[in-house]
Amino acid sequence: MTALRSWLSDPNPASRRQARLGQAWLAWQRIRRNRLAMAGLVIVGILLVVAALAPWIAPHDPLTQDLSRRLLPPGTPGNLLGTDDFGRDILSRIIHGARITLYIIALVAVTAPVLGLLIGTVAGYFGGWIDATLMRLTDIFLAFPRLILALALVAVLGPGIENAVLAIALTAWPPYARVARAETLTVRSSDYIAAIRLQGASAPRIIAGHVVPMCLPSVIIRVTLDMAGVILIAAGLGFLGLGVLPPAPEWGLMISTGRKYLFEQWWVATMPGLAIFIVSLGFNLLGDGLRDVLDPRSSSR
Amino acid sequence: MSLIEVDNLTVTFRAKGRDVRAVDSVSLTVGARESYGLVGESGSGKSTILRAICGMAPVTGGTIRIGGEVLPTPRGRAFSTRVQMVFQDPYASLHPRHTIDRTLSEPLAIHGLPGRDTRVVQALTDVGLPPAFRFRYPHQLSGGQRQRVAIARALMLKPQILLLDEPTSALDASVQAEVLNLLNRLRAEQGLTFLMVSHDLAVIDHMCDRIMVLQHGRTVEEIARDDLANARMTTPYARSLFDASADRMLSTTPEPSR
Repeated sequence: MTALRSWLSDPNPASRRQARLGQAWLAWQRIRRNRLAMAGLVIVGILLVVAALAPWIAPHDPLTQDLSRRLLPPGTPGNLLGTDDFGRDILSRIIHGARITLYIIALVAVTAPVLGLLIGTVAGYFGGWIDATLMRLTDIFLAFPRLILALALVAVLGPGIENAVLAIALTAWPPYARVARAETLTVRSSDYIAAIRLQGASAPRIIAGHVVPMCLPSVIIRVTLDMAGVILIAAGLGFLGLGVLPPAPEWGLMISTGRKYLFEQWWVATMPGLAIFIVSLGFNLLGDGLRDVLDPRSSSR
Repeated sequence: MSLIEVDNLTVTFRAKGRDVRAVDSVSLTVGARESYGLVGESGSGKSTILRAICGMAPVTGGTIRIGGEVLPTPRGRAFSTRVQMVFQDPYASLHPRHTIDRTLSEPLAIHGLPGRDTRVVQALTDVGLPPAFRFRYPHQLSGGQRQRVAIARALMLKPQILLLDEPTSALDASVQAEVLNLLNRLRAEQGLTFLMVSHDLAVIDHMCDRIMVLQHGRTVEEIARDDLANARMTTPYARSLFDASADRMLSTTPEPSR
């Protein structure tokens, strides 16, 4: 353990891999000192574990209906969080719903930021009419409220989980493009970009190898902070019947069905609501912590 | 035959609808293996001349020839194997998220040159840095060490000409002397031609065979080294620059402390 630690913190790394791992280890040391970020990391970690092990930890099948046991309150033996209007176990549905939530988050997280980074860095690096065109396009997307635009897209594409993801990704990229462009503008005129240009590097090489690494931290921070918003929009689409289709155990959809019983059987809507709340909170805390760790302006390096 | 020929170079920046002429009809020639200095106060256009040669400033008049050929615009890859530049601020000229290894091997990768490992280690030893520094990040190095890395990077493609934009003004005096001596040694070893910019006549005197004094983008006077050492300048502006740094110039090497 100590050998590994001294290998990681060696000021004179012997290989590329050791240098990179050493930097990652330093970042991990910084985030470990931040209690709230660790709390966020634990929540996100639990979400990952629950989603991975859903079929084994869920006490019941999330889709099996039992009308003799409908709308049982929380604490009922066998149904820890109660049952919904078709007698399905709410805890099992929340556990299986974690998979859907994670699926949506993962797909949005790999599509929207990549698109935004590409558009933002290209616009910022080249400037001129390319910048003007791409940024006006971004402005058009930003001018619509996100949920309304997502609704319109889903209405055109038809409901379903893939279309919901597509709609969310298409509405989520403009802020990343803005952030990436702003970073690119500060980096573009720096000496190290002038130096690499003088070495004869092509524009794609400079953007991918030299500009993007400088934009990544701020984009990663934005992504984790936006994840809460993505969960809420996915839940909102589910609630409006435009996202995941019933009977899939999606959290927003569960709130939607529980709405009818909100006053008499509050737990049907409240339990998935709490799940959304906790997971959103986790991502927000993690994002805040990452900002402290990754943002070169806030740390003294 | 002269290696660098700059003929009536004029650079005009356009700022807020107003034309600012940063360099006005400057002509100079630098022979192969010569070291040529450009001196002047800030805003005199000396750095702009270097940037114009690299194609990073808007040239509005005159021609620049390297080895008798007019430079193409954009400069292209052939240019980068002949001419390289060392920037003023070593804290800003190295990519903060790349290891020294990446910074030094990038030019080789761009030009598809083989033998990266040996050449990177060789470049580090050439500039007097231990090979153990290879996988460090710039923030783990001091200012002088960073500037050595920047010099090593400029030499990776084995250029003939090195443009030096105040290479030591961001460093403290003792480190300054080390870097200047390193540059002199590399010039002798590799047969380089220097075109160097400084506001400090003492640095120029230590480095250059001939110097040109600039003011407001115009040539004031061209002085050979012997004339400089004996204070034989003809214009009052050059003399006032000389007087400002005369006390440090009389010793042959710059003092370690001010």
